[in-house]
Amino acid sequence: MDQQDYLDKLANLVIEFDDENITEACNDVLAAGIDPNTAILQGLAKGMQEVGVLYDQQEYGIPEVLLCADVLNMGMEILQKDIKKGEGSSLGRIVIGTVEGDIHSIGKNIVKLMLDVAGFQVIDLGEDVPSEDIISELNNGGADIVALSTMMTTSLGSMETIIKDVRAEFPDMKFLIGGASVTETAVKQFGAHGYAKNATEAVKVVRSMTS
Amino acid sequence: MYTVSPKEEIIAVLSGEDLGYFPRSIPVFTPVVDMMKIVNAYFPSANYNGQEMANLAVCSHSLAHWNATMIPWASTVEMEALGCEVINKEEDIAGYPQCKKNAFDDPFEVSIPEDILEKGSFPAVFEATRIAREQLDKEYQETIPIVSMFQGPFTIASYIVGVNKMFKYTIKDKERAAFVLDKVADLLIKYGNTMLESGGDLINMADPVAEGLMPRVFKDLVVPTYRKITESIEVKKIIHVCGRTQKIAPLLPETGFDAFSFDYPAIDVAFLKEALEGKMKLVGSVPTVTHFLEGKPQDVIDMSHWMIKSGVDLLSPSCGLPQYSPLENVKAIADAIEIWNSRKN
Repeated sequence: MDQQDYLDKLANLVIEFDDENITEACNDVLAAGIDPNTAILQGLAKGMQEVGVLYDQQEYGIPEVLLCADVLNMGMEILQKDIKKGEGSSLGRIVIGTVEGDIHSIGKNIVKLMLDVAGFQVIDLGEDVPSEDIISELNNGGADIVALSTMMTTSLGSMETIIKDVRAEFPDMKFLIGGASVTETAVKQFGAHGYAKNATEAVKVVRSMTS
Repeated sequence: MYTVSPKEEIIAVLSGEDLGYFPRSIPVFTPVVDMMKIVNAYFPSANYNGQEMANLAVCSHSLAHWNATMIPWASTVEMEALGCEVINKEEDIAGYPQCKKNAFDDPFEVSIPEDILEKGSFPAVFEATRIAREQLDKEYQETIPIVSMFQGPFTIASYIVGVNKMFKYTIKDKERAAFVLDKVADLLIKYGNTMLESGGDLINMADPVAEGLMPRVFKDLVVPTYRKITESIEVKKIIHVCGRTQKIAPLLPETGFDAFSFDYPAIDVAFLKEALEGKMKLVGSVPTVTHFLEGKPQDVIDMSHWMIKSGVDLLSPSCGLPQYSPLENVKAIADAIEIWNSRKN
């Protein structure tokens, strides 16, 4: 097997959510002397990106995506042990959360996952997140983008408030917004910089916002 | 122009009869803040108090002329009674309760207590239905139908055992998934029939979480559960699933529901006309955010007319109304039907 075969196998195990063979496959990768960073990015993450495409095309549902993510995480755990600290590089730092007043998490978690595998460092503040938590995180570690999600129309006001509050402290911060109740009109009204309908689009928009 | 009452119209249309005009009942109602201010009944209280719930339910016709109403609106009624931790913010007069923590760790632990319909806000739902029935019948001479709404089995099952876990069980542990779905179906049959005994005329079951499923899982696990429910509830029944339902829609005629309330623009009318092959009626679907919340009354009217032209059998919002939608936009969908029928005749 050459390196590409090993990487393809990792990608396929993620796509097929094969939790029985992923541990052995990752150990084989390390035994073959393949760089663990390469194995993550061109094996596991590549597989997860394909999963994102299958989800967008409605070939996979949420159960499949969740199971693929489990296999991805199992693989990451093994491979990351062999990565020396500071060796991995990130395309940018994203602070993400579902806005205050809303505790829906599935969509936001899929966006987080896809940004993660695309090579961004994603800090997930969870759900029902107020302005203060975001500002505090930005004071600690900064960010290139703040990504906000809401499914409920009653939390749109909270999204607008967060953008206003964060902008008061970080005038140059860029905002990506999304979620079932968010429309292009809201993007203009709130002064956000990007809007994405789904996780794959979110990755594209974030790439263009950070390039 | 109208030959029968709105209540008779909706049942006739769902039975496949042609009225010769567009039916006036709009069967997917949730209250807006403008209504709350007028009748002085607000969330979260109105989701738990029968009288307040009834006062808001009646607004659907008294203030917006929808020729129908729907009770209840909170998606957490069943989950809360089953033991989920639900959060309400007292200061948020428009906010719906949200389910924060699941009630069971393992689906095999799920059991439905004998007295379940006495728990949580179930009694308030029955009381609201009785009061609204009495008030509507008195004021509008028994012409206005009440749609009794409950959450679907996949949505309830997901919240009571944990959404991510339930999704994974559908592939990795079907036995557990089927077990909890069956228990929930038993509850829904009991709940649905009690709502009807309290004064409901037809059923709307909303199963939003099922949108995340692919056809094989939907067919194996969810369709049999839906069938169990529909076979045990006699009246006309609508099913609502939000979002991208292209993959599961073709399976819906097997479920025993009479109509599909769909979510435009996530799914298109033309696609559904073909996928359902005339085996189910279509209910929908004026987009909630872009039209009711952000649009003007004329936008709602134009979209309503486009929906009618496209072939829906009953008009409704695409999902629950955004609570801050202006009342004039809410009224506009009913105006659209009157305009359509008057032009046609």
